[in-house]
Amino acid sequence: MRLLLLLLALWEVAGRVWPPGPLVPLPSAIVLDAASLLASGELFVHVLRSAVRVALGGGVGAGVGVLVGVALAAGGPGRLFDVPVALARPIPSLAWIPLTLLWFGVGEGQQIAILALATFGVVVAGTRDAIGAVPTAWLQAAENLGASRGARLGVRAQAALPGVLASVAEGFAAAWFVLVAAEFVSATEGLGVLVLAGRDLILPARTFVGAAGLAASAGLTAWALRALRGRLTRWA
Amino acid sequence: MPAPERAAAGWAVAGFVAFVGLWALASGWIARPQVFPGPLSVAATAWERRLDLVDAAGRSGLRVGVGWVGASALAVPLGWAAGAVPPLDDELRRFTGLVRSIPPFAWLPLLLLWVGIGDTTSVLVCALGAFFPVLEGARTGSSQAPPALLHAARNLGASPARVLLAVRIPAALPGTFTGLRTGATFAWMSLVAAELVGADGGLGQLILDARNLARPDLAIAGMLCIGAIAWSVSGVLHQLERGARRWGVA
Repeated sequence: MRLLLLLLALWEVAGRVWPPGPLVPLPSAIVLDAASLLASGELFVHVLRSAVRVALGGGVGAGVGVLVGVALAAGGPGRLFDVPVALARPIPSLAWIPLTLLWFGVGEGQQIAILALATFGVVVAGTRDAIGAVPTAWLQAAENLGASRGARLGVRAQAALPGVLASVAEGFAAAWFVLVAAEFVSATEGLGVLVLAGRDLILPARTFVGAAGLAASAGLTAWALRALRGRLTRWA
Repeated sequence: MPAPERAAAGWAVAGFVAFVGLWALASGWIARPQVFPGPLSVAATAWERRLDLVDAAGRSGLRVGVGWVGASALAVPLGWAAGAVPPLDDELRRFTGLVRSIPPFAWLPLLLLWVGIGDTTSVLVCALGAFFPVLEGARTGSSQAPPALLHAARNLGASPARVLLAVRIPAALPGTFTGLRTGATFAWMSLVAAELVGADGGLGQLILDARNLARPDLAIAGMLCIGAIAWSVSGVLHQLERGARRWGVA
């Protein structure tokens, strides 16, 4: 934090001494732009639109990711998913933009699909690994104590839950991460639009406002999911 | 092969057959190759356009390579040095924590404004993508060098430079390689974003052109190339990381 403030102060002072021209904004200009967007309520609209996209895309991606991850960890027929997942995972979610544009057309569905793909890749691997990491000793102990099949499954689910929730949080972070690139293509409102205004409207300060809004939103999401995880896994 | 492994391999093969089979069936049933091409037409296109794909892969690879190497050349020494100075280490940890949630391609509009469309912009975005993960890996590795070994070296009369070279850096290698691998993944993702926005050739440009020409077969072939390159680079770096873990001191 101190390093960031120091860098911003140096930048402001240097910019006052040697004015860098209209293409390089000073920190004060960024703050002013943020204040005007905040006062007009525009900033709120952009953040809200992006947050809805992340919630929908991340939600779909995390839901499918947990299901497929459970199937992979269960073994047997679940391993049918091994090859498709292994083929798809190294492809960055952004590389799906052209194909999803052909499939869904320009619009909300396409952007949400990209966010869902980004979340899915993280959650499927995290869920599989979290279930795989449950100590066999616990399952054997449950078995020796006479636990039924269902009860043993319960032990496994409860032991894997903290890891699964952590991967869901990571998945939502991935959705925020790719959001701007997905919004570059077609959005009319959203943080990506603010970021893009740096070039499209030649308002370079706005790119910084968008980037800061992005970091704040991602941070807030991570904080909320951590709190939720703490509540759901109080024993851990 | 033991029975469980054989069963797993069997399911994997079945999964591959089922995946390709379902894909072929679905594409036959939908019967709109300009939207949903089958696996055979993707394979045929990939073969027919192999020279274009190799050329695009070469351009993309060069951009990512230059960006990743350049960023690493800065980030690795900085991370190693910072890890040896606890207050700086702490400060840098918080700083990267803040900056890392901003994706490198969020700076694309500014780079386009300042530098314009071209190789420089793509390389810079890749370098930005690689820089923070590599810095984080090198710094973490260096700051977690075993204190007992550092004390022992100092007590035996090693100079600070010697401690850094003989103890801290070897101890930092596994973490550094983890950072280099994550950095390569992020650089590759950033490149795709940069090339989608605008570049002269490259795989990102190729898949976007394929979309504009309504050629999903070519887009899928390009995506498979992107995935294959990411997978191989990550595999090679993973092997190096394991090697570093074996002969590292930690």
